[in-house]
Amino acid sequence: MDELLAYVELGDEDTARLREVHAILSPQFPAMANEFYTKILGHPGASSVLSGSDREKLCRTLTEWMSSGLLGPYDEAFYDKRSLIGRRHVEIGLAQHYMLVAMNVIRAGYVSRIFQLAPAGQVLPFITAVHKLLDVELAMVLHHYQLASERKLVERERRHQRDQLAAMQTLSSGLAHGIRNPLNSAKLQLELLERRLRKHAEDPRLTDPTELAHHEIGRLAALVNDFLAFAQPPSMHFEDQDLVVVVRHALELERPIAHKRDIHLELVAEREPIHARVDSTKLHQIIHNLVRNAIEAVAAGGHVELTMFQEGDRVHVVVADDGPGMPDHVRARIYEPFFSTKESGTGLGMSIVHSLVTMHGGTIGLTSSPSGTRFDVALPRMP
Amino acid sequence: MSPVTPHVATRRILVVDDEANARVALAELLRDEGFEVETAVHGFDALSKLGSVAPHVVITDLQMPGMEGSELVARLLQGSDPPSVIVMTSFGEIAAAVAALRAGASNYVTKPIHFDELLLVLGKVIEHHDLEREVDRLRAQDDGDADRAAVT
Repeated sequence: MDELLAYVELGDEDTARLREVHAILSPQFPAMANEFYTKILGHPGASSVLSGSDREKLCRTLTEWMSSGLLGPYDEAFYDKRSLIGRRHVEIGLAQHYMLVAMNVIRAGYVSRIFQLAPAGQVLPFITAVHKLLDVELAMVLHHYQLASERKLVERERRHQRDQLAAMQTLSSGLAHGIRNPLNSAKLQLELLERRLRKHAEDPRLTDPTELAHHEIGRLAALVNDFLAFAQPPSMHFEDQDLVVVVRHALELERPIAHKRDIHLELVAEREPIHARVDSTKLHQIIHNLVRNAIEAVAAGGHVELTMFQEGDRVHVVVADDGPGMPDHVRARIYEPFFSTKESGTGLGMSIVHSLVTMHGGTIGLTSSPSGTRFDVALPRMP
Repeated sequence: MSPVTPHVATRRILVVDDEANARVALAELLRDEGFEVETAVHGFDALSKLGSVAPHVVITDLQMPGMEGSELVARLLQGSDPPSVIVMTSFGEIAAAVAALRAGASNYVTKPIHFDELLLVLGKVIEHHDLEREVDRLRAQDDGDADRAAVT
């Protein structure tokens, strides 16, 4: 508010003049309001928005507006009150250009009345002060129009994203269901072939390819499961858990892979236990995906460290690696479904992490530099 | 030949799946393990074969046209000497598996089927099936003894 007053240079002298204007014009307010609405309601666009309103009530409100505008004081309470009016204009759907025209009608009303009624020497200073006041009023109303249009943009963007996500989920679900049955058949047929081959001869030239095919089918099955997890966000089962136990268990399952790649895996818990209400299966999946991601990001001899601590009503699980970090364009899209930098990834892992963290009412932060990447998952202790 | 159970040769299994390739492969795999296997292409087919095949165990898919998996399980178990039922379910259909278990299924395996895992489950289910029959037999015998005792 102060910034606005300074900008239009509405100083103490002006406020004193505005109070004088009030003294002279206040008996005229009802007539001015009446003239205003006659003019405004003559316009079909504006009148359609205001139709049905009680004209007398509108005039009373405008009178009060003029009176309080001239009297001030121009403090935060004034700003709050004006904000209500600004929001109301936006809410009823009065287009911005009608509002600008209306402001000019009021301006003209003030100017002509001041010409008629003010002492000759005061006309110019009075008009200048009124202009400044009306500029302040205009700025406040416009601010609300701007906020509303920003909100609309954000909302439109969100709706677009939701539609896109829903379409992708439908697609994923259809695809996953369609792939699953043939995959099961293929796996069983292969199993049959493999067993019969082994029965006749333990010949690796025959059995090795079937084993490889088994492995590939396993990958496909995992991929299909990823798609389904993404397409059907699971329902949550919150239970009081010691998160250290859940995280440690999830981490232990990754140890063989880490060991194979010569990567050091460590868990540092600030204290133990750390209790919170979580869905332990989903938390397990979150940790699995984050740690797997980290393991794949670091070179042999690298480190993946999990840190757990409590801060206020949130529990943090930080997964940090000393890999090469992520370029900006990867970081910007990391939670997008189907976005992957790996040749064999589905691009759903981090998207699933994001949605599972969100379902816990938590947040996930990401910092990355050439010396490593760090995901900070913060979960509310009582979601 | 089979690591699963010593009485395999006498066990009849009914495999129910509308996917022909999966059904045939599973039947063959089980036959190779020494089981006696019949197949059915859907729930109604399975119910119609129940009397003639008199399976010890039914291994059935949950997602088939015509009848809910849990309904099939309930109807399979209606007879006087019902088979044990193992359902095959997919990831993401855990709710359907739970419904089938509630309806009386003995166990479930997830698709894609790991045959070794299925064999393990099958072994346990047959063992349990045998125990139940044994208990029934002893109870009947007990009742018979009691009846005779009452008469004399």
